[in-house]
Amino acid sequence: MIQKKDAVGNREVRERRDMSILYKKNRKFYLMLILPALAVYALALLVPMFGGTIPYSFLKWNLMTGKKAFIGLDNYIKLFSDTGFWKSFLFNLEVGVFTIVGSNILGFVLAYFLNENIKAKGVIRAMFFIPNIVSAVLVSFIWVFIFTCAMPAIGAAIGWEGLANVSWFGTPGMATITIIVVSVWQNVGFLMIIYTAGLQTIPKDVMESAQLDGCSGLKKVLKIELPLLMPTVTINLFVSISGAFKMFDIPNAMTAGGPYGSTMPVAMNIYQEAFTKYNLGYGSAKSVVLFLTVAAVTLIQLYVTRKKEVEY
Amino acid sequence: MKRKMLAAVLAGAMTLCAGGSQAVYAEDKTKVEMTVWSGEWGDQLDRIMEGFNSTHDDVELNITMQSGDYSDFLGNAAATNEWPDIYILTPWTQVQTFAETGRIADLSDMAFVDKVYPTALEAGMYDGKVYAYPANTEYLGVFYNKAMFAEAGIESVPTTRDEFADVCAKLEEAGIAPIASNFKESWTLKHLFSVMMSNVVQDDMAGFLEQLNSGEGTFGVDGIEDVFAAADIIKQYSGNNRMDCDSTSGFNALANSEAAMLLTGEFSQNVVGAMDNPPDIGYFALPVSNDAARNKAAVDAGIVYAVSADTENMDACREVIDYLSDPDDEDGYFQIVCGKAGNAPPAMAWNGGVECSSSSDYQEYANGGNITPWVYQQYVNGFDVISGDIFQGYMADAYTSNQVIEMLDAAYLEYLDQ
Repeated sequence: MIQKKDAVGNREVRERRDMSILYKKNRKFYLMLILPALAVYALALLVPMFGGTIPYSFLKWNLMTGKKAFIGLDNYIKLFSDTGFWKSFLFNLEVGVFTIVGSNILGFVLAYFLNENIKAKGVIRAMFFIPNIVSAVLVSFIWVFIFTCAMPAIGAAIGWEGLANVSWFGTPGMATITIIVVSVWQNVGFLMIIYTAGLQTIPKDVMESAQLDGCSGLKKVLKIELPLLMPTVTINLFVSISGAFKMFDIPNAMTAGGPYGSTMPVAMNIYQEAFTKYNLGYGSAKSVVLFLTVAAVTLIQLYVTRKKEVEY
Repeated sequence: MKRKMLAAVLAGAMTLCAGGSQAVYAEDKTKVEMTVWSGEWGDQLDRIMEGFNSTHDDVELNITMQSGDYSDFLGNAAATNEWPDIYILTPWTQVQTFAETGRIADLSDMAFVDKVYPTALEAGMYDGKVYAYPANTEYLGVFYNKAMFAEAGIESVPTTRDEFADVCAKLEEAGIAPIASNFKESWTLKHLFSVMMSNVVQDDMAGFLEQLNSGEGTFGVDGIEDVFAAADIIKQYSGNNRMDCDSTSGFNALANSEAAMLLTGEFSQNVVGAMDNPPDIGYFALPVSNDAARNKAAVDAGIVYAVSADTENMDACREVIDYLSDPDDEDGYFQIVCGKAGNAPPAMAWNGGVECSSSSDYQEYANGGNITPWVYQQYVNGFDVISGDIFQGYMADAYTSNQVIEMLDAAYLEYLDQ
C-alpha cells in the first residue's frame, strides 16, 4: 500500500511539473483564450461599476427632480443612520445563515447517499436539481400556492387546525421561514451536484485504507471525506454566501418585502432607493457598500476554508 | 477560408435581422414612438396602432409596452435623458415634477382640454397649464355580490360605518365570508389607505398636502380615528389568514362568490367578467365615516399621456393625442380600451362600454358629484409605496394607530429630503 501511495505521489509531482512547463510555453495562448470572456466581464460589470455606480455614489442625484450635486462622502455617512438599510442587512444575514447552513448540509447529505449504490440515483439527482433550473419566480409562485392553498387544505382534511390556520405571510417570522425554506429547496440541488463531483474525486484507495484501518460510518465522513472535500466546500460556501447577500427574486416573488417591509433584502432596498425614490446617488452608495461587504465576507471565507484544504 | 465565409454569412444575416427590425415604418411617414406600462393590454396595442395608422397617411405610430417595472423605464430614461415621443405618467405629482423639469410639452391648446372632466384634467396640470392628457378615470371602493347580500337579508348598501359593520355581521351570521382579503400585497393597502385618507381630508385636500409638503404636516389630522375604526371593521371580517391573500386570490374570491365584498378597483371586474356565469357585482363607496354625506366614491385619473418636450415630431404627436381623445370614433381608442367590463371608463363623456351593475352604481356617484380624488397620487414622489407598507403593519396587528401615524410622518419627511 505504501509503495502504491508513493507511486501515486510521484506521478502527481511529474504531472505538475509537466503542466508548469506547458503553462509557461503557452501562457500567451491561454491569455488569448480568456480574453473574450474578460472583455464581456469588463463591459458588463467593471465599466458600469467604475464608470457609473462608484462615481454616482458621491452625488446627490434624484432622477425625477433632475437635481444632481457632488456631496463627497455624505451618502456613505447617511448610511450609518439608515435604519431601513440595516434592517434589510440583518434580514439578509438571518436568511443567509439558515440558507447557507441548511442548503450545504442537505446538499452534502443528499450527495453522500446518492453516491452509494442505490437504484435510479441519476433520476433522483435530476429531481433534486430541477428546482435550480426553474426560474426563482416560478418556484416562488409554486410555494406560495403550497403555503396558502395546499397546506390549509391538507390541514383541514386531516383535522390539524394548527396547520389549517397558520398565517404563513402574516408575521415577519413566518414570512422569513417561507423564504428560507424556498431558498434552501432551490439551492440544494446545485450544491448536491458539486458535492457529488467532489466525492467522486476522492481516490478509492484512500477510502479503502481508511476502511482497513477501522475508520467507518460518521467517523469516516468527518475525519476522511469532509477534510478531503474542503475544495468543494470552499466553492459551495462561496456560491451560497454570495447568493445569500444578493438575494432578490425569491423574497420579491414570495412576499414583495412584506409584511410591512420586514422581509426586504438589501438588494430590494437598493432597488427601492433607485427606482421608487429615484435617488440614484444614494442607491449607488448602498450598492457599493453591499459589493464591498460581499467581497470582504467571501474573501475571508475563501481564506479560512482554503487553509483547511488538505492534499493527498 | 471556410471561417471567413461563415463570418460573411453571419454578418449578412445580422444585417438583414437589424434591417428587418427597422422596417416597421414606411420611408415617407413621420414616426411617433409611444411607450406604455405593462398591463392587461392583450392585443389592444396592436389594435390602437392599426386604428391610428390606417387612418393617418402621414404618421406611423409605434407603441412599445415596457415588460418590467415601469419605474425602471422612467428611471433609465431620466438618467440618459432619452425619452420616447409620447409616454404614460402617473397623474398629479409625477406630471407636475416632469412639467417643472421641462421634460414634457404644454398641451393646453389641444382639443381634449375642453372634453376631459375638469376634476380629471387637474391631474395633468401644472402651474395653470395642461401638460398631460388624462385618458381614463378609475374608481376604488367596495365591490359586492348582490345575490349574497340578498341571501343575508341585506336590502340596501351601507352608507355609514356603523351600517357597514352591521352588514358584515349579517353576512357572517348567514355563513357568508363578508370580505375577501387582498392584504398580502401592500399596493392594495396603499389604495385602501388612500381611499380612507381621502375621505378624512376631502374638505381641504390641497391644504393637507401643502402642510405635508412643507414638512410641518401630519397624518394625525382630525378624523383620522375614522380611518382606523373602518380598518378595524375590515380586519375583523376579512378572515384569520387575511395577510396571506393577494390581489389575485381576492379577485377570484369575488368572481367565484367565495366572499361577499372586495375592497378594490374597477379593474377587479376583468376577472368577474371572464367567468362563464359571472355573479352580479355592485359597487358602493367605502363608508369610512358615520356621516353618510362624507362617504364618496374615490375616483381619479388612471392613465395620463404626456408628450416629450424634446420630440422632433410635435405635430404628429398631437395627431396621436387627438386620436386617443376622440370619443366619437367608433373604432377608436375608447372602443378598444374601454369596451369591456372592468375597463376604466374614459375621463370624458362617451356613449359606449358594457353596462354592468358596478359601473351603473359608480355612474350614480359620479352624476351626483359624490366623488373625491385619491390622495396618494398627490403625495411626494415615491411615498405612496411606503404608505402601503406602513399601513400593512396596522392590518397585520403589528403597529398601533399612533405608531402608524408616527411612521408615516417620519417617512414623509424622509421622502421630502430628496
